[in-house]
Amino acid sequence: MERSLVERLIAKPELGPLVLLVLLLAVFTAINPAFMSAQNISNAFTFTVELGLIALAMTLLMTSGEFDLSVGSVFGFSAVLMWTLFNTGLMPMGVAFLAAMAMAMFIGWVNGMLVTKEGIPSFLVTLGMLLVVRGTALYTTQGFPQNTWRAEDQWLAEVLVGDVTIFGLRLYMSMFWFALAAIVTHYVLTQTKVGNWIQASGGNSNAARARGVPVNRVKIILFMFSSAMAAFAGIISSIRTQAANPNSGTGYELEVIAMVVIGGTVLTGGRGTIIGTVLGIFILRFMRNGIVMIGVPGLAYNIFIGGIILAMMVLHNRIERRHMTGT
Amino acid sequence: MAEDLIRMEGITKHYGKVQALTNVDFTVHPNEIVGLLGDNGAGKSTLIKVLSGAEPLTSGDIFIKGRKVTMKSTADAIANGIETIYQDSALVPQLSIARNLFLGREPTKGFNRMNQEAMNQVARDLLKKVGITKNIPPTTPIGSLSGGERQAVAIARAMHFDSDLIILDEPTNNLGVAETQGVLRFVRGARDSGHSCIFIAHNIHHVFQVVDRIVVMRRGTIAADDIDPKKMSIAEVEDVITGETH
Amino acid sequence: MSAPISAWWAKGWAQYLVDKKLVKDGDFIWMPVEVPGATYGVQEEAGASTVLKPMNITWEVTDNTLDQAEVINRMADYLTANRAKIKAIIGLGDLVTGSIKRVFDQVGVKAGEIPVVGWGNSTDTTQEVLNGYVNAAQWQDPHATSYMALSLAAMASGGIPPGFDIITGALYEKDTAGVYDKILSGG
Repeated sequence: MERSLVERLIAKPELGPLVLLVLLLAVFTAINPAFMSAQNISNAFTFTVELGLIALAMTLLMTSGEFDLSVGSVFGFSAVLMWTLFNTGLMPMGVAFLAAMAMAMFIGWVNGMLVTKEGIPSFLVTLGMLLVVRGTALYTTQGFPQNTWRAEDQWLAEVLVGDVTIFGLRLYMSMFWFALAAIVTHYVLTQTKVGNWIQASGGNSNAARARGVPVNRVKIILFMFSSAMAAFAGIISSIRTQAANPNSGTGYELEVIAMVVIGGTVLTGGRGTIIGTVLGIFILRFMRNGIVMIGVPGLAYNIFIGGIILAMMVLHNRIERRHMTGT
Repeated sequence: MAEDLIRMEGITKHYGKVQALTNVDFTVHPNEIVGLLGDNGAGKSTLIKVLSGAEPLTSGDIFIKGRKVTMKSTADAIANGIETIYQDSALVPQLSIARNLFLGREPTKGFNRMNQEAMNQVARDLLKKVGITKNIPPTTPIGSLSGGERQAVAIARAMHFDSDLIILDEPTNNLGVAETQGVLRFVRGARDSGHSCIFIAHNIHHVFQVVDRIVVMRRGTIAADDIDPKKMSIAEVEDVITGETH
Repeated sequence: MSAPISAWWAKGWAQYLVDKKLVKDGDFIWMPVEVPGATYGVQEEAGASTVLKPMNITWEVTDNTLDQAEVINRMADYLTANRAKIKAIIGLGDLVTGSIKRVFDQVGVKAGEIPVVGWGNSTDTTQEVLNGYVNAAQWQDPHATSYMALSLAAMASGGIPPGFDIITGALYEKDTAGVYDKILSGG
């Protein structure tokens, strides 16, 4: 029953994505050495962290057996809400930021209540919510973007997206927020009592409930967390790109879920890995970036991503089976 | 006679118009293994569901050590010292043995951090105690254990958290001969360390090997509640179950 | 009208680059667009090609989506990868042209280092022209475009064949960009 180190390593869900990432980096760098340039790495990091923040929260939510399709619309809506409140002079920026975050958490709370109390699958609940939130953003703005030029000279903007240049690498503050969020979520999932509850809720919710785990509360809080992270990411993005567009974030939910499953988290819940998700985030980002860097037409990007998702699913599935049947 | 551990009085349960239990009286004494037998639809499962908090009763009373209780959920029942072990459903396959053992009652050491060393240590001791001789690391996920080993973990958990009554619903289904013997050994071990058990199985031979007393149900009522397996043959008990008289 | 209006404008943009000696024989031009295959992008590419092909100038059209963050992201990737060979940029849409400053800042390209022309119906772009990131941008007057088209239609239905083109826009540079900036931000 004691397994060798190699065997245990192979059984780790993070191994597949790690090998894939190293392979990608090697191939892209071999074809175009500029791939590894400070400039390119800095590029690759900026946008990554915005989607990455959502992916971290989604990892916890998916481990608990649910997922959230409304994150892309919350991403767009929250930024629009914050800038509308600020631009119309209703609130100072800090307060507008908190109001937008609170609104996002309310959206997550509604998702969680509908899923746990009404027993509607999260696919349907969050699909409906996606449309409601996106529709609200479009209707209230009549489709027009909110300008965000006045973000300059605001301390909050500095805290969220200010940048520093270290050894020729231009790094945004959002990198720091992402690293912090990754460490905290990893700690929560692997070390804490709550993390055990999250995994149990996704693995066997009836058993968890019988042991007194507040499964519904765990899920509702995770829905709120995923919404809040989507809003946080949307606001960061709006300041960095100087645009709060009601359409921003369209399709992000699928990209985020792809990151999470490529990393080895199971769509059906019970098993999740933050390390895997971080790898998944970088895989998708460097894939996209690398394809451009080596001159493959950008239109072919989706073929690669789709292929990788399928290949990783087969791999994870095999590992999972090995894992479950034991050796 | 010692005070009854569990006393169910006048239990009646309707599902809509269907009457699943009619005025059932059922007791479990301390330190005994009760075999609950009956044909399909006799009411065994319903009785167990009521006792384990999974289903509300229509009328009747449940006393634990003489104290009247109402149980609205399985969590309530567990808090009252009644643990039900269904094959598979009581454990989380993705979590390790230690994490399953302590699920919902994880010891922590600040910042919500689980004390995993302590959990693993207790798990190791418990596995030994229930009689698992094989060296299984406590970090092994439940999903990679055999059916019998899973039952052992569930029983170990019930013992560790001092459940007075462990209900085993078909614990030997789909198990091989050696595994079945293992489970029966775990059940005896649980009784010997002061726990009572209700043992439900289709396989009447398994029941005979392990129980102290047999209760037979028929059509939602108790047909016999004090059969001594040493004094009655399997064939005779089967007649009680089917209601045939000779 | 002899050619679709978008093709007409794009021909002008290519011509601008040539006339101002910003590109020469054998150069490479990058043409970012929002959505591949959208009519305006296709027509613009066709229009520009009439000027560029005879000069042996090559180009590549890349898609960048309608999502602001994604637009910057993809454009920055492409620019980083191909910075050495890109001699000029033609922005085939308002969103891509309006993102030039943010992309240049991200990649570390100075204003004016790579010549840019393209659509200019947004304050983002008027600002870019004023600050030297974009050399020239296209203003297409929304009122005039629809109004003049209606006049032509009225003429046609009245039996007078409209055998001429009407220009309802202008390619503006730094000196006149302020005018359009005012129109767009006011209203």
